[in-house]
Amino acid sequence: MTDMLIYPKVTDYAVPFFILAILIEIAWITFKKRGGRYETRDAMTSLFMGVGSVVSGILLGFIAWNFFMFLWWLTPINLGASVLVVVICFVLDDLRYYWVHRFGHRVRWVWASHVNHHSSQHYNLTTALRQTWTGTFTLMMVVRAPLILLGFHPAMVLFVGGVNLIYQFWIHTEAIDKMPRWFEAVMNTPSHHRVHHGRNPRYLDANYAGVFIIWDKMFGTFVPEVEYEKVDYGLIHNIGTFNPIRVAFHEWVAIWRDWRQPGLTWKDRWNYAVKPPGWRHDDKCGSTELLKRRHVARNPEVAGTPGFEDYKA
Amino acid sequence: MPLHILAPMVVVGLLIAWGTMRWAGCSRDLHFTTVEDARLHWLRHRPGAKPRDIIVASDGRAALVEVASGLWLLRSFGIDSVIHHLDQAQLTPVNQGLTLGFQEYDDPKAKITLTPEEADIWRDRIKAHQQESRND
Repeated sequence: MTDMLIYPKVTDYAVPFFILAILIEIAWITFKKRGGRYETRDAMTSLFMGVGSVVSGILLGFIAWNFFMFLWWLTPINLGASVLVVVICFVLDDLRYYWVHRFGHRVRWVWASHVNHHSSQHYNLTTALRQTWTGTFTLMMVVRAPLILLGFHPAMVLFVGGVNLIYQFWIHTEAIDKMPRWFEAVMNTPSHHRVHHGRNPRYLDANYAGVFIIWDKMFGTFVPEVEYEKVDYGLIHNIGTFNPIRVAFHEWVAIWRDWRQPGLTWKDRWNYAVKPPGWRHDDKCGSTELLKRRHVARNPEVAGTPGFEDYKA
Repeated sequence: MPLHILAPMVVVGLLIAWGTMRWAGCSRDLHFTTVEDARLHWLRHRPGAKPRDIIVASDGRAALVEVASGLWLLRSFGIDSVIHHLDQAQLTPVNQGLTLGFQEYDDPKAKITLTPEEADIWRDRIKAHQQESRND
């Protein structure tokens, strides 16, 4: 099918709101002396990453768009554009987001693109805009294929994806503690997403949700933020640059350097791309499971608590 | 949204955000005020690696940290800190200290401000450590 459907590019229209919300958050933190931290170079790096991500979309977006339109041409199903269809598309696309995001943390090739979003040691609204420039190279666009083959128009799929990203903007803050219980039970919130950005062993590889936290609860990756352990933001090994180009490409360079090590088999090279970040052919580095295991060995009292349910002292 | 509206809006937004953060005092650097302060920052990065010895630079922006796995650099990074293993670091003496070159693309160089006496001590410690590593 080739009929056209046009939706506004919602992320562009949200730009004035993003800027205003960031200014309000800075003012809140400055006057209240709580609710997060800002560092000029860190925040500006995040904002430049956001700008670069938009530019990357303009330059490379045609690849995904043509792929989606090819699938749309293939499929005999057209579900139309009613409000109900848009709502169903939004929910299913959020499920798609959950899995792409989970791959983004568990497959190094996808992590190479997503890592920059986690590369700040801060957690504020600018962190939300620290977006990838290299998403196209991960080929994660294929995870959207089922939606289009099921009869959701590509323009609708991209529209709900944009709405999903806008939703995720406001949850990148320490200024909001907890939302009402019913909301925390169903929706992704600042509290749930703070956990996702944590480098504490307790919080590693948790809370991949975009809008609905129920996916994490369904697939066993939910960890609540606990009062007795403050989230420490950033990477296991934090990067030491504010240069947006280095932020955008550092993990791709690391993969390339790993591939070029002498004495590797082709299977080793494949594994460097598809195994979780931290995997090494010589077992010198640690997986998140190993980091959690070591943490429980050092602190046996945490065994069985949130984030360590499967670990024994 | 047309690019001729989006682009100026983004540029103005970036300038306002930058100005606001400068005004709000968000551009300070982290300083390690004491050895204990540096130790706490180190433990944030490597909770399981207890330091055996720490030397803090007199300007408070860097420290040498010795742990079981060898010698590391802890340095100020904005209002945060980062660490580096010094096994493979390339040392270059400069006017006011040392420049350390690293293989990592995400942090290729660190300029450490040191007094001449400190620079001698740091250089000797790092070189001795690198020699030990080669011998192991």
